[in-house]
Amino acid sequence: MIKKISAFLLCFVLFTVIPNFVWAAEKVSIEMWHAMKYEKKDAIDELVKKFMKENPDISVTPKAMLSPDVRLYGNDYSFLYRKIIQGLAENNPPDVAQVYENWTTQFVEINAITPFSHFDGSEAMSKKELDDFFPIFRNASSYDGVMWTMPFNKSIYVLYYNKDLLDKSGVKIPKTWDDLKSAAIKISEDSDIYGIAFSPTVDLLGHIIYSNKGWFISDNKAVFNDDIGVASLNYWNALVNHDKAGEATFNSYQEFLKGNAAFIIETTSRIGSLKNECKFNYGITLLPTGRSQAYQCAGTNLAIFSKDEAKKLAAWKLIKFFARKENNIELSIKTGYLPTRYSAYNSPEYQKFLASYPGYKVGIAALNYGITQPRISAWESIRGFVNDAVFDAISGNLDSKDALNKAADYSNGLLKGFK
Amino acid sequence: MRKLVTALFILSLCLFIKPAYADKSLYLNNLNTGQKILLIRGTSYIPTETLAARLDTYTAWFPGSNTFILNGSQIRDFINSKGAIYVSAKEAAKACGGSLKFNKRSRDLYFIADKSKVSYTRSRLSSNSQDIQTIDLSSPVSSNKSLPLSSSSSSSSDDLTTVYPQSSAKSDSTILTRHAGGTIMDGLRIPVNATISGIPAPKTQLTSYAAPYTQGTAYFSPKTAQNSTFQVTVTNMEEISVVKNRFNASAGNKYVVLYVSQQNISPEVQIYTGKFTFVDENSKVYDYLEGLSNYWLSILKPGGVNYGYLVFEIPSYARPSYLVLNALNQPPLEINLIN
Repeated sequence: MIKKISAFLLCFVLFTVIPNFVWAAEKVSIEMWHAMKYEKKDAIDELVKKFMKENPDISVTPKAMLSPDVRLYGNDYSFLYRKIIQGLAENNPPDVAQVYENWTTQFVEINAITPFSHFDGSEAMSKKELDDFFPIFRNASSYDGVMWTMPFNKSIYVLYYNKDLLDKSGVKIPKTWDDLKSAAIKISEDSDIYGIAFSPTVDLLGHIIYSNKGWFISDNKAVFNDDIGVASLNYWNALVNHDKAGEATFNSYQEFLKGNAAFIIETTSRIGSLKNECKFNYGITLLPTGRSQAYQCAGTNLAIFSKDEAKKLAAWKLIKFFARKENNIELSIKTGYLPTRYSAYNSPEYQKFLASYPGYKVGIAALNYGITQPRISAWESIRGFVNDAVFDAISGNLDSKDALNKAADYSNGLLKGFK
Repeated sequence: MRKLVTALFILSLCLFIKPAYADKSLYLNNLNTGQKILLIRGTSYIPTETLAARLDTYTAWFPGSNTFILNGSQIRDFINSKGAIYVSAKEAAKACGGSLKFNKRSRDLYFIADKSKVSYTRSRLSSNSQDIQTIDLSSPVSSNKSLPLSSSSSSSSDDLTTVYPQSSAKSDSTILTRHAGGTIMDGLRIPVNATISGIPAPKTQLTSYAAPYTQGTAYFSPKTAQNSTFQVTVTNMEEISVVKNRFNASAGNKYVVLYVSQQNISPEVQIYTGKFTFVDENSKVYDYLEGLSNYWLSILKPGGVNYGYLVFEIPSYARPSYLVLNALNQPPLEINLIN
């Protein structure tokens, strides 16, 4: 009898209890979409593996959404954006994805993503943890005081200079836009190369606009065509067409590497590659100042798109994992993006890294005066209109004022109709 | 025997002076055209197609009299290489009232054109360009165009290691507030004199379907179509051969640029607003080149409008027929571009 009961209990355990445990241990699978490649993609893959080892109940599939053809699909980030909204429309979005601030605005407005405040109790991030983020990044991720996205791959614009060329011309490191112009002209005359090479884009215009307390958009209206904007565009226009000391090119980094330009304006994400590729003495400094200091930030944040609560929690654990101090350090060192929090920056590991790459100190210092571009939904389209204006002015097709007025007309029409 | 030697000598000379594509780039008004110059016996030759398109002027070749005209001037030194006409850079500069400069280091050729001396440009007819203004770097901001681009309070890069982020961020605009007002028509209207890529669109006119610098015009009136979800309007259409002085259409192809607005006329939010394709008169379908266009896909709330321009690359002989919007769960929306 006892044997029969034992056999019954054994069968009961085998067929009922154990399967329940197995079911309970079934993994939650989530997808993370990003636009990283090469060593940056490798760094993400490594961290995801580490995350899954730490969280065996969660399976993460990182997917690099890279544009297969830049002409046909745009750059990697526009390709990623298209994939996200297609996924949303087909009810099959990623669980986690990189997003820019102006994308976030759209996603918040249609309730497509989940704010940090959704997670409470032991899963919530403490005030101490939130305060550890650099304010510029925390604010860029916040709407009405609530964080919706996790600061991720961040950089900021700085000025790179060819020290050998500056020394040859006896030119000091420029502190103001006026200094930069004089330096570029002097070096151009002395060495028969361009003083400065730059991409004729909206970001170029933004450097001087923001450092002179101007804005692109104010009260839902385009204001980049005001006196500050026009003077800013005239500055670059004159460097190219009047002073013959500036080269408008979409390959400014390569021109700098070849020694064909003494200055370039790029983000801090170039620091690592420059150290490996540059054959001459060079330096990195803050962008020149105008009436104030203001430096444009670049980069994305991580947002949670999951609708299912289990996946949502898994996604939340993943983005918290990426932001954790030691992982933030690892990601920063491996990718060259800036750390996003004080504790990572102050860590011995990162300080040791800075000893080899002191240029990042400039980037960190610039964060004091960091600024994010407009977060309005229409910003990506407006960026395109301003890009065209900058290009038209510098290539001599339109007067600066006319070019910016045209872009402003387009932008204002869009701002009115964009609901 | 002497004749044979002479013939061989001439033949060897011919081989020696065979056109050589130098690895030197052509810059036009300081912008890299992406084209290489041709070097023959120390003379630089530049492609006329690029020059004419960028300067928006015209060229004419009369094979019978072996005469080549650029910007109204006869060019004496030109060659036909692989079906393309190259003109002496010096003569081209003279014809266009421009100047030449070689970069000593790279040996790239810089062609600086004086647009006011280019006679047959549509740009000149419509533009009101002015001389570049000198920026006053010392006076404070006022209602004029001067702007102080300097500051006495600039920070030093020497003390960076002690600086840590503390200040709060500034932002351009408050978000999460609904965009105010504006009629639908405000959003739909695109200026008809819109320009792209350095080639101004004619006011309410469309260059005929030929190279952009040839003569002849045709009118384009806005075309609209709608279904239950979207209303799409094409406000202008133009053909060009170069986008942003940089992206040349492939040999035998041209770009068609369509200025498009799209409005959500349904009561629901439209997250994915679809994909536009171009159909020619032979029913061949083309995707737009997102990398060259400025039409950023946007989530559209009811009544919301998006607009921009789409760039398609099609064969030079192709003629437009339809623009088609393919959105999810809807039949294709066709906008007839001809009638």
